Amino acid sequence: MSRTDRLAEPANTRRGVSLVEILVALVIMALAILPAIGAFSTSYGTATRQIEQETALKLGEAVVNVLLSANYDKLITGTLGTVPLNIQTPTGAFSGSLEFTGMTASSTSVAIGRATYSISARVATVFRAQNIDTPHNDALVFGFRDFAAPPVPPGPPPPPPAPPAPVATYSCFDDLVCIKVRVDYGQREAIDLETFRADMSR
Amino acid sequence: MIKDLLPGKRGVAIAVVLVFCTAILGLLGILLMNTRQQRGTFGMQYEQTRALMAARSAVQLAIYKYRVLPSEYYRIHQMSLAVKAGGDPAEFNLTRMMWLHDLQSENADTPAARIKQFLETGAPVGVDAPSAGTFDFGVEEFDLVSSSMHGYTQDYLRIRAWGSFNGTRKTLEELVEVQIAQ
Repeated sequence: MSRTDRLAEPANTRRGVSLVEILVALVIMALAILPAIGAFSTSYGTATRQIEQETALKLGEAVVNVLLSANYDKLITGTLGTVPLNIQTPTGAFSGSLEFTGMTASSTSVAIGRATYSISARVATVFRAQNIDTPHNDALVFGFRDFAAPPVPPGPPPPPPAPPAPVATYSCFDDLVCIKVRVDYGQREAIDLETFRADMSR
Repeated sequence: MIKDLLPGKRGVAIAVVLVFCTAILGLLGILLMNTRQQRGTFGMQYEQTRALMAARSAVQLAIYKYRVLPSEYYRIHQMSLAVKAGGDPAEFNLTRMMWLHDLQSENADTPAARIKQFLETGAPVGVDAPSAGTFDFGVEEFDLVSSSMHGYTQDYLRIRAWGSFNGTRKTLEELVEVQIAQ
């Protein structure tokens, strides 16, 4: 078919797509793809943020465990000095150290992936050992069944209900310290973990 | 005749695009739903970790009490051995309950309650401070387990504790070696 014959053919019998159709298709595609890009971006951001949060949580937990096994006497006297930290996380290793100055500590910032993590810790003697000479209210007091209590004198049977068993109280002569760990990783909210530690060295 | 119907084919391109678009939007919907579901998981993990820390506090408090009152605990241990040998469990249960009473944060005026207060507000009892959330913890089991080694018997404390933060609960069990003081 020559060019002249093709031109002579009626327009509505031509094969292929018109410019208008392509434009309409492109507009529809654009309407579908633009939110798709946004959704992928949101999803990627959420996944990245979640990985960072999870890493920060693992770091915090690991540091708490390190401080739970650190020398207790040095911990409560603020002479722990440098505590090396080599923590493996699913996204990378945190190789640094926690430098104690008295009862507070901070680490250098370490980059894992795209986020930078820094750890700080604080040790506080919340419940102090009881002092016989100068008693105070910061000591914990435990109770236990007082087996040495005088027995009930014999006589008519006591009326129900039975009286509760006598309780003896004992003040503690050890400190109980609170360990607080904070992991900053560039997000608005940092990870804060805290637990208590008793003296297990003696 | 067939040629007259051909103009109808013009819609095919747009129809194909619409099918693709629908497919893309469908996949997008799934992606967005998954993303939305993932958003809450970190909060849950964080609560679980804080609950675990509360459980650790309970374990440490139990060890602390054992250190303060070792001979009292050995009395319970002797009672438990007597119960295993066929003794009356009522006496043992009462004494054991009194031992564990201090280690439950729900019991007012106990060391556990004071720790709970500190965890929630960062301040001791009596100080009005904003709460970081609701902590609870307790010790479910506290046993002395003996293991025969080469020529000697090694004692371990088996402590089963639970902790909860804002209703998320975690349980922790630890075996602590008992060492004789020098």
